[in-house]
Amino acid sequence: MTTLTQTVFVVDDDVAVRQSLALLIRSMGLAVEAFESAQAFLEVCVPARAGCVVLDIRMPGISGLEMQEELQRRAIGLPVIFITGHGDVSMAVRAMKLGAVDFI
Amino acid sequence: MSASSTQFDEMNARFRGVIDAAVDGIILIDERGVIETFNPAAERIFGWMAEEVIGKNVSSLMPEPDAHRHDGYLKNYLGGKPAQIIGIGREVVGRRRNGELFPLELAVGELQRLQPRRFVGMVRDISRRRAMEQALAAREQELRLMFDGAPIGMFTAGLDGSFNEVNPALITLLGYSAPALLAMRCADLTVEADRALLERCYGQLVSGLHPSFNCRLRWLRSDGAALTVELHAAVAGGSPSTGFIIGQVIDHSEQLRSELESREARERLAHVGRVTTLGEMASAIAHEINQPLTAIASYSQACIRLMKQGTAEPQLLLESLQAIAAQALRAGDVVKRIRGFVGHRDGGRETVSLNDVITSVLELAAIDAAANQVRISTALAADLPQVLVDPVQIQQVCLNLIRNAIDAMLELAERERVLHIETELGEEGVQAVFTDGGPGVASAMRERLFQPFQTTKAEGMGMGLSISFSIIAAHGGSLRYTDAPQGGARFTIALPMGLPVALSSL
Repeated sequence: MTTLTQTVFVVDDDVAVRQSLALLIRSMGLAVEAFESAQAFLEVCVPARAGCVVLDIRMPGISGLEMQEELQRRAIGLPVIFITGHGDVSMAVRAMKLGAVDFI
Repeated sequence: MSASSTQFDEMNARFRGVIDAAVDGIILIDERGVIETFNPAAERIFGWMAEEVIGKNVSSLMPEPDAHRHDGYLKNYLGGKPAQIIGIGREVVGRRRNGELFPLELAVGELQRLQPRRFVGMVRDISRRRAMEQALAAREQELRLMFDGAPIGMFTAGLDGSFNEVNPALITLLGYSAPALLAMRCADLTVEADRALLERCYGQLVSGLHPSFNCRLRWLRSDGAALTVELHAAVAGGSPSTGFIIGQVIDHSEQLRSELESREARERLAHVGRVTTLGEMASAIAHEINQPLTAIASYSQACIRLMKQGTAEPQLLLESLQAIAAQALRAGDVVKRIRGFVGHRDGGRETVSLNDVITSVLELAAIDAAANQVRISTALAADLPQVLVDPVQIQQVCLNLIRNAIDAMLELAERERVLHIETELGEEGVQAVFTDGGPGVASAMRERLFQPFQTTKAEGMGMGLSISFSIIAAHGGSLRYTDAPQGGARFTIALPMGLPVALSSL
């Protein structure tokens, strides 16, 4: 994988959501990598990777918002799109302040 | 002559002896009513000595108006008018020496062969007999008043169950007229399904096996309405040889109706509690349903896109459609679980395993627990006796305790958020113990813990524990709070094991 390859990183603990999102993104002709937790993603993620992150907020272990903070700390500038089934306004505000591209 | 004179003397003495020994008073009067003979029995009855009354008019032994009319009675008779008393006998009132009046039976005969004619009165004091009769009549009147005024239905019946007497309360209860009831038997009032029970009870009564029985029966009123009555029947005098049965009928319909109403009220409250609990879980439930919907939407869009591009491999499409079907079932499952939990039910009790009840509630609770990063560990004892419960209501109590535990642990670090659920056989029956790692219940709150509208939650109604408490109490069990040894809260549900004593055989 070259640094020029743009990859969409899907991070969601729900296997069905994760796989379906991965298929959807792949059907659009984009490269996809899926992770079942923030830990799993953070282990492989290096600043050189390009693309974006599609991130679930509520996950066991490290939550989506915590992962977003961790990316900033590591100076990984990947744009983040949050998806969540039970978001609220304060969550969205916090995510956008940290630089999220969208909150779906 | 002298022989006949001796004979006469002897006969006279014999008659005198008979008269003196007679139990009844014997009084001989002449045509004017003057007393000639007054025997010892008459002395005892009237209190006069013979020498005091001989020569006096017999009217002195009577009260007015007879006393002053007596001479007239005699004159009428002697003048040829028909006899009113002579040769007939009747009950009249006498007067004793002390003025006391008393009932007496009087028979009067006429000694026609003597000249002038004489009359003999045979007198029997019936005051004691009369007093006994009056006492008996008063007693019967009392019993009659009790029977007629009793607030419960009463009857007497023959050994075959046919009514001899029915009281007004029974007539009112059953709606039949007295004559209609008297033409019936107990069995005619009893619904078909309960007749065998009645026959069995009657059989034991009539055969002398039991002197009485109690049974709950459904009887039909004249208007066709069914009553639930408690029939207590006993053979009179404790033995069937007396030939009749005394029955008491108590109407329990009203009581049963109010029991039913209070049960319905409790069920409505329980329903409200379930809806409230689910409301508190709404966000977690919404998430649980939203996940499969998100997956379905994504899979479908992906398939549509691939097919439009013409790059859809059949195998990938097949797998995607299979995934869509599976996710639709997953969403449906959640809805089904919620509907089973929240729906109005008739509150029927079933003999079930408490472990099964807890396992089924965990399916629903898992959604909430996962959403809040709470881990639930279980230790369910094998071979527990079964319990007779309304499973949905017990599920509700369990879910409520689980929700409380989850709420209590939100401030903890994720790895400390553990709820432990255990089942065991305890002194009070089959127990389920819920132990959380939260802060426990403050001592100030503890006393009011199971009262309504007590809450520590910002958005709580404070109904959960009070509803749970009343549900468990209605099952004859207990719900208790204790501090867990390591500091959290511990709630223990205890349910009586096995079948409780049935209310009746029906």
